[in-house]
Amino acid sequence: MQKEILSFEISNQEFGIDVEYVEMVIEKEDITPVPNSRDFIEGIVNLRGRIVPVFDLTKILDLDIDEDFDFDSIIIMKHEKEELGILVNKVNNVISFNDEELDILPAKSGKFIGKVNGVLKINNRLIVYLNLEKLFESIEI
Amino acid sequence: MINVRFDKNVQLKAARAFMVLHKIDDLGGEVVYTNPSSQDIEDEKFDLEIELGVIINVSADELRDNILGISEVESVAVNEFETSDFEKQEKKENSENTITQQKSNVTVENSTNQKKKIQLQSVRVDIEKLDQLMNLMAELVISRSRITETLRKYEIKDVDESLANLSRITLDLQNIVMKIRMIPIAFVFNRFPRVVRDTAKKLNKEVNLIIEGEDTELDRTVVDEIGDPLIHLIRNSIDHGIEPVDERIKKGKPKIGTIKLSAWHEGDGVVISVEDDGKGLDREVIANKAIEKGLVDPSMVSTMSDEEIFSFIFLPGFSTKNKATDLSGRGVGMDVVKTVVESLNGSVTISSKKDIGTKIIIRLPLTLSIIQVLLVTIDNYVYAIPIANIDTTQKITDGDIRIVQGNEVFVLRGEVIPLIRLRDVFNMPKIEDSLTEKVVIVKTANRKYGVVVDNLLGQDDIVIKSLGKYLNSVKEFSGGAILGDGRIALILDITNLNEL
Repeated sequence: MQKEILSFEISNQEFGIDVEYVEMVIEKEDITPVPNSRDFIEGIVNLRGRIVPVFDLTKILDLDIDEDFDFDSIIIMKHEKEELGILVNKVNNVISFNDEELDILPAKSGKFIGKVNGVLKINNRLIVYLNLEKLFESIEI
Repeated sequence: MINVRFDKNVQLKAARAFMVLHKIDDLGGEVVYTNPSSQDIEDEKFDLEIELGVIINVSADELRDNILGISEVESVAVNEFETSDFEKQEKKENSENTITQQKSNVTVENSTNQKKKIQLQSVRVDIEKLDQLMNLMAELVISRSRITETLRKYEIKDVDESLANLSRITLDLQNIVMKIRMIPIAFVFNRFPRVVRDTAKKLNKEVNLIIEGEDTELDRTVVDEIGDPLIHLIRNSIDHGIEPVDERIKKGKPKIGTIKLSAWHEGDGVVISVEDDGKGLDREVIANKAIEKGLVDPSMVSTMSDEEIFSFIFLPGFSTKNKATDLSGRGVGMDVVKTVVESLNGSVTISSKKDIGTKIIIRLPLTLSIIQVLLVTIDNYVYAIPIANIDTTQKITDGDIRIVQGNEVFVLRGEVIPLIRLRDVFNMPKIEDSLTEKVVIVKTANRKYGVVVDNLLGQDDIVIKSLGKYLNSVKEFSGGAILGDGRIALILDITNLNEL
């Protein structure tokens, strides 16, 4: 089955998400922190008068990054009518591919388990194809 | 006498005609006669020509040129009255005079009617459009401040004045947009004295209606929807609740029954309560009816709370009255009340004591509501405290703070007030060098406490916005708001802060 994903980078690792979820990409602006919220919530931004929470994927996926690591963009997505943003470094492009090209991640690759569909190999690029449904499920309260 | 002919492609005839009249007015003239009538002109009930009788102190040419200056006016013919014309017509007019006078009287009345209508005129607008408008408004304000910043950076002063003007306009616009959605609940409450009077009269009862908090503002949609359910509740109170005069006297109650209708803001919602001092709901009767209808198992009844029993009356087709009147008792009504309130995401609860009265409380959330807040800063971020929760603000020095049972307190006018440091609550670094603390003393239903903040910014009207499901679990905040400069202020939930 043909699929389209948007690829982006966080700290030199390339990720992909289904384009259907993506609403827009904005430059990273001032994020208002929400004290005492869950640690993966970086804060909230004002998106055209709407208050949208911004997530730090590295905390959800348990990625190691430098303390003073800086993100550049926010991908705004819509999931179950709720808008939310994720912090990224660089948004690359939209990639179409066939399901069969997808390599299923070996079971032992720990932290991504259950949150990704697999890994895509395209022209020397390794793209971790995130399963957003499962990802959101994992952070449900 | 002027004949104005409009272009045959004229778009808004009435508006153009109005401009003609306005122009004449500007020139110091008075329109004494129109054909067709002013009403018809306003309703666009004319072809391309209107005829106006004008008393004016400018030359015919000047008048003509002025009117031709209005776009889409094709031609203007101005005929001056000669004195001889008047003389000629005088005889004729004498006989017509009475008629024209009557006519003019009629038009005068018409126009005043028209004005009254205009004052009450309203437009129904899709709420979604208002939301969009509100969001766009916020965007506009932010863009404005960005432009201002850029201009300041490059020291461009030429536009200062027009920019100041733009600021004023956007501010006004923002205020209007904010207020468009909100109307005082008085809009519905004002209908009730009459409802009560009529209903009470019909039922031969004496009822006094007390209205409180009618200036509580709430969303227009809510006000529109809540009217009918409230009328129903009030009728119910009079019909089922308040007893006939002789029965009240027998019970030793005041002869005149009382219905209290009140509204107030609570948390991020509005509460409307309808309270009567009537005979109250009869637990037994309702329970028996429920059993009879097979809604509940008889053995269950004794274990159920009053509230659970009372909630049966919200079921469709449930009436304890054996005979329906034209006012109530048909078993439709309370279920409608519940449905309407629930469709507004609200809730209804009943409390009632036999022979003391019934109180029905409707809670309505405000998805969009404007509240007055005090803006404060903590660690350079802005937070909002609802004015309704604030008692006073106070500067206290370190010496005033005492430790009682491990908690910081201070004494204000003989009252011991515990302190909550938001920096601690939010796990933010302490400021070391402060000798005086700025404290906002807030009150909740059962206690007062002081909130220590970094700075007080001032008062503002804000629109409460939900933080979404991912931040619902953060009990410290009841919502967020976008400030004029695009920043977000989190709204402190004073009741929950206290319990943390």
